[in-house]
Amino acid sequence: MVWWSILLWALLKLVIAFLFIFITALILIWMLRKIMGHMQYRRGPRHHGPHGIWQTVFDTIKLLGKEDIIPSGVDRWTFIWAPMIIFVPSLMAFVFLPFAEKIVATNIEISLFFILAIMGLSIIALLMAGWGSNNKYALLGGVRSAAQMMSYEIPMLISAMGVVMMSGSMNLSEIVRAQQHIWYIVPQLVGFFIFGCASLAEINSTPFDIPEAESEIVSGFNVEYSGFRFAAFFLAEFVNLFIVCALAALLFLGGWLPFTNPVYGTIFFLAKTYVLIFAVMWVKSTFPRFRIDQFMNFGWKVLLPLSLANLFVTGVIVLMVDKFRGV
Amino acid sequence: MLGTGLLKGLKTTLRAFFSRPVTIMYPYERAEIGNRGQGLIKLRVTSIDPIIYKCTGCGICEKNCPQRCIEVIKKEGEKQPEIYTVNYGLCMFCRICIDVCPFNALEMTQDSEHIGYGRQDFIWEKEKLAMKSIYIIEEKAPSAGDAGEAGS
Amino acid sequence: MYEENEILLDDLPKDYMEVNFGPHHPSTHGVFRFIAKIDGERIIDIDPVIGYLHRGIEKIAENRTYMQFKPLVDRLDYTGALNNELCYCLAVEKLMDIEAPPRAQAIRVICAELNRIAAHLIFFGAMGLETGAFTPLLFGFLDRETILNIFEIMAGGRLTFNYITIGGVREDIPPAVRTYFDKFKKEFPVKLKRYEELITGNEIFIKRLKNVGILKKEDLFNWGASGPVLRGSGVKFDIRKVEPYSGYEKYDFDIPVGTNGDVYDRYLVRMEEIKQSMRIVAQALDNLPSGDFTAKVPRVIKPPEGEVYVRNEGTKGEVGFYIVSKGDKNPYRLKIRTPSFSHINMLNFAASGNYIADAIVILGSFDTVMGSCDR
Repeated sequence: MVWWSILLWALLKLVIAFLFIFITALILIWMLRKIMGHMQYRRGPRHHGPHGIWQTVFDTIKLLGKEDIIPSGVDRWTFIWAPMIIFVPSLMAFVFLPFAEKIVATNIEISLFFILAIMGLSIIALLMAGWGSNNKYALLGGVRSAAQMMSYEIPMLISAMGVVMMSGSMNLSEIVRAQQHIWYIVPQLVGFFIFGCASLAEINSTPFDIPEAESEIVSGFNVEYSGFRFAAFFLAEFVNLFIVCALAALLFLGGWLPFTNPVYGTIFFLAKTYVLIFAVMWVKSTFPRFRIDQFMNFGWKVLLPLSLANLFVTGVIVLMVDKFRGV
Repeated sequence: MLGTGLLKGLKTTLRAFFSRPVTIMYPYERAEIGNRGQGLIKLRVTSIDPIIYKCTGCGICEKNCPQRCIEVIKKEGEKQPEIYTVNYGLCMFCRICIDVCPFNALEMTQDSEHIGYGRQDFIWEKEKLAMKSIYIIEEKAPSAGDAGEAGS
Repeated sequence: MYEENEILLDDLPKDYMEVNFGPHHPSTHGVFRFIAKIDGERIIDIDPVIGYLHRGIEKIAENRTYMQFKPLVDRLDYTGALNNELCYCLAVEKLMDIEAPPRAQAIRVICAELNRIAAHLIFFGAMGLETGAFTPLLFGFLDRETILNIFEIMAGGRLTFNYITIGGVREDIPPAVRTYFDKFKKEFPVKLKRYEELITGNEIFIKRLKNVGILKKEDLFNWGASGPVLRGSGVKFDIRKVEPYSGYEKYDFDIPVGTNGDVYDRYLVRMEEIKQSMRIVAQALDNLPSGDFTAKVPRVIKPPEGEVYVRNEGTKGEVGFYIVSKGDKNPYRLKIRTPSFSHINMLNFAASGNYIADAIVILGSFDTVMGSCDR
């Protein structure tokens, strides 16, 4: 009797997480269009619903209703599975994000490690999309994105290690609890900057959006997809944005502190995440993009040494503080 | 490498974010068009009932139109054209017909919102081309290169 | 060492990848197609294909009278239409030995310079779009609206006008132009400074544009470049100063010149030209002479036999009209020299050896308009 209640409970949590992800993606797309519009002296969508809230819903329904075109000559297996695989890492990462003191779908001791590891799986989906499309633009886009994501994984991981050293655990809830005295953005300012740049590169957002550079290779790996497959790529990009900003809020901005009450904690955590998302969209409306060789230079020659130096200095200071306290 | 230039750029977009948007919501509000704006070209009338046009059907506008979209047919001995059609699918609103008309019989309106279901919807006949207001000011015949005066 | 029927890697047929940047592309200005042979990310060869907007304007001219042909000249370089009209009218006037009165000349200068500002604002927007920033496009078009409103009350149109006629202009300018322009002159420099902060000082933008597409003077002379492309490499040549037309010798303005010859210099030259154009328009409006706005022109325009070539400084470079007349109502032969055609030919020379991203940016810096290139 007990095993099927556990299964039902797990399935219920999964469904709630799934729904939350989709609704978040829809809200984020609306937010991007409105914010980018207002930054360009115009309004975003206005017609459907007050301030155009239902615009994204109708757009998704429209995309789902389109004809499913599979070009001839594509590699069928990779072409069809790429948009489905791109959702898997985001969903898996979502399961481990804590929203408040006790509100987390699954709590394991190495949740940060797990999230950072599976976010790297989305490279596979982009490569599959690029290769399987039988199109030179898509191939260029896919290969560029693989190079970009691999180069920027390392600074992201190393800058997160600074936080792990200061808090002493890889459990995300523990990290947030360890920020009770001071949020980690203050001692780890350099780490925050590195984590921000590297995660912008991970989610293909301007100024690092070379794989889907619209003005050169017309949406890169997206170019042969239409209908619900394109909707899958599009939504997955925004889900990744949410996850990365939520991670930054947890690691550096103190998560749900100072509220320990579940309701207020969740609201405050979501508020911090949305402030970071606003900053990402602000950057997206303003900056041009890098050229491919310039940003490989930036990743390998600037961010990597900087993050290693950050790690070294953090380690030394943590050791000295522990010795001072006699621990 | 990354420095003040980027921050100034961010400041510009933030200032734009907090300003009023400049959009004119099109079907509900319309922008003002000056009185020289390009719209359809219509025939002036000197009386509404019975309808009398200023045009005498001389055909000079037909000969001078670059796109050849005006068609004028006049019977012998009459003072008004019998058939006067303009194909607005071809017209490029260059106003040459207004400039060369010796009787000042054409005027450019600002009427520019028209739809149709096919190309034949854009061929306008004489009755549809009549302007709704009456033109009664008498003036001397203009020379080429001069613009006509607007009626009241 | 190897067995006899193994294929060595060096024996496999290999060729560079050919990518077609087709006529439908968000970043080639208009319907322009080029086929690039690329090796990884570097371009080896570019083969431009033009003609997707060819309308046969030069042939149409042989069947239209001079007055009927004038509205078609607008549609060549549709971002700076009044400059084309001015060149055509100057050519016909030179054939017929007519001179426009001083008031008409001043109005023509106002039209041409305002159109230059409008065209350079499109360049500013398109430059941002090439590098990936979406906002400058909207900013450029927003400020262009003010200029187009001035044109609407003055010339009757926003993109194609048919305003400058043989002998003068079509109608006098209303006094509201003065008020509109004063408002524009007060508000626009502030906005221009802000837009420069957004793009010109941006480090990412500078890294994308500096030292990209460097063209030397000798090469530019060989390829027939003109306009801001030529001035960006240090050649101080502007037809408004060398062969002044329509009263340009009366106005006081500078010619901005670049030093390096890269894309960034051409961008800065055009931004500076906007400011100089505003100076010219302010001077012209302040000293507007009174009098007729058109000269006495016969009803039917039949120039005497002869041929003439007249050029002027269009928004993108040198626009020239070569007209051969045999005494008829229609021209016998009319040839149009446009800057975009010469600049597009330079693309292979300028962009080979660079990255794809650089080739797009170089094409944007030439600022070509396909209506002008294909005619």
